[in-house]
This record gives sequence, structure tokens and C-alpha cells, in this order.
Amino acid sequence: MAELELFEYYRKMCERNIVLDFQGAISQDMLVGMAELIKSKFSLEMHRTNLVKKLLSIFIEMAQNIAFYSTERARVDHIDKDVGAGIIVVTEKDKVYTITSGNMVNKKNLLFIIEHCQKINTMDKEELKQFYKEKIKLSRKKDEKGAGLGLIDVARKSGNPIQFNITPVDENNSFLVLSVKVQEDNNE
Amino acid sequence: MNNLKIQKTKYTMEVNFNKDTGILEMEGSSYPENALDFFGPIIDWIKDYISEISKPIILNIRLNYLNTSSTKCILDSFEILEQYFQSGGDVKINWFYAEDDEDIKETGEELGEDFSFPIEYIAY
Repeated sequence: MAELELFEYYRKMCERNIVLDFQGAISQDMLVGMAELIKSKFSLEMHRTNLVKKLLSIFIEMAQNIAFYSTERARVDHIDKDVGAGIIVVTEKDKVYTITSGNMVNKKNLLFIIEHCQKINTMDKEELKQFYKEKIKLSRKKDEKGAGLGLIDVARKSGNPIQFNITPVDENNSFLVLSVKVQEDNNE
Repeated sequence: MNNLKIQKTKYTMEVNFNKDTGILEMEGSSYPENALDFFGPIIDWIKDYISEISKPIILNIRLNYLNTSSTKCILDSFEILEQYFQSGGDVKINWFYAEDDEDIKETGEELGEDFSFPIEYIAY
């Protein structure tokens, strides 16, 4: 029985030092639960609050990206609307924390996100700050829930490039993986 | 108009705007599902206060986390306060940050740097 082969799955998760792994619809309740979990788990392990806060804010931006933009939508029982589904994983190795998200995106968004990441990855700290300030002042597009600032903020908080990987799934959709690292005494 | 009071949740701030004293307080964390929905009434209240009461405003902001779409909404409210200040209104912002919280300090400094109203950064 497949269910009983959990040991293999457990062993793999341990090997990869997975500290949080969620797959499914990211409702606001779910996001708050995971944010609280990160806060309580890492506040004990990390002495510097700044690192916990950076990890938390990267996590929230990436999880909200899934909730807002994933083309795989799911109905959540107690609320009368769809939320985005995907996967988000936090791993830790030698005090380096990696936050990785995966979700379905359509062609149009995929192109935008990849170009956005490539642009972000060429920028230094000061350029990212200017880019952020420029974007925050642009008036919001009507149907946009977020402010289009999330990934710039992720790059600024992490101090590392945003890595990405794309797997085409069907004619219109691809599975997009985004991954960033954050560590102690980055940006200092 | 009435005072504006919003209770704190784990992902939205406590808001306490007093029309009689002109003291506006925001405190907590902010990462709502839809920042525009949350900040809409806050921004409307500030607009109403400016047009109906037109007295001095002291905005005390004490946050420990805000996501990017909330940051954008705070900027929107600063823009309204800037217009009021430019047209002769009395505006003062106090941005409180935990002593060791570089991110919130920096967010406040970046938000405030292009405005002419007085903004003070206060560690606690």
C-alpha cells in the first residue's frame, strides 16, 4: 500500500532538512498558520530577530504570490471564493535557509515573471532600492491584488538572486519554481 | 464623522483614529489577503477628516511586519497627507520601530524620504 511507504518520504524529507512543506490551496488562514509556525519555530533557533523577519517576509510574499497568481485554483470550504494552489518548501542547511515555491502559471504571466526575475538578478542593492521605489509609485493596475512589488522585496530581503525553473505542463500552463536563499549576516 | 477603530488580528493592524484629538494610531502586522479592502476605509477616513475637520494630524505608526501591498497602501495614505500638508494642513508622522528591527526602520525611511511633512523615526 502506497500509504505505508511513508518512511521513504520521511527519510527524504529529513535528508533535505525540510523544515516546512506545504502543498495545496493557500487560503489566508493557511498562510497565517504557516507564518505563526515559522515565527515560533525560528525565534527559538535564531538569535537575531532580523533573520527571522527576513525569512518570514520572503515566505509571506512567495506564499501570497501562489495564492494570488497560481492558475491552479481551489475552492476553500468556509470562504466563498477560489484561492491559488501550489507548493512551498522551506529547507535549512548550515544556517542557510532556502524558500522555494512552485505553482502553475499561464504563458503571459510566465514571460513577465521570468523577465522580472532576470532584471532583478542583474541589480545590486542600490539599484534594487531604486527599482522598488519606482514600482511602488506606479498606480496599481485595476485587477491586481498585489502591488507587483513582491519579487523585488524578496530579492532585497534575501540579498541573493532569485533562481527559477520552468516545466511546461500543457499548451497554456507551465509549472514555475522560484527559489531564494537567506542567511545570517547577509546584507550587513 | 466618527472615530475609526479596527481590532487587531494576526495579519491586520489595530487602528485607532480619533477625530477629536487628531491622533491617528496604527499598530501591529499587516499582510491581509487584499490590502486595498483593508486600507480603503482607513484612507477614506483620512480624506473625510481633512475635508470635514481640517485640524492637525499626528499619525503614530508602530508596525512589526508589513507586506509589499500594505506598504503601497501606507504610501497612498502618505500621499494624501502630503497634499494636506502642502495646502497648509498641520501633519506630523511618528514612525516607531523596535530597536533591533532594521527592516521596519528602513521601510519607514524609504517611505518618508520623498515627502516634505515632518516624520520622526523613534526606536523603542
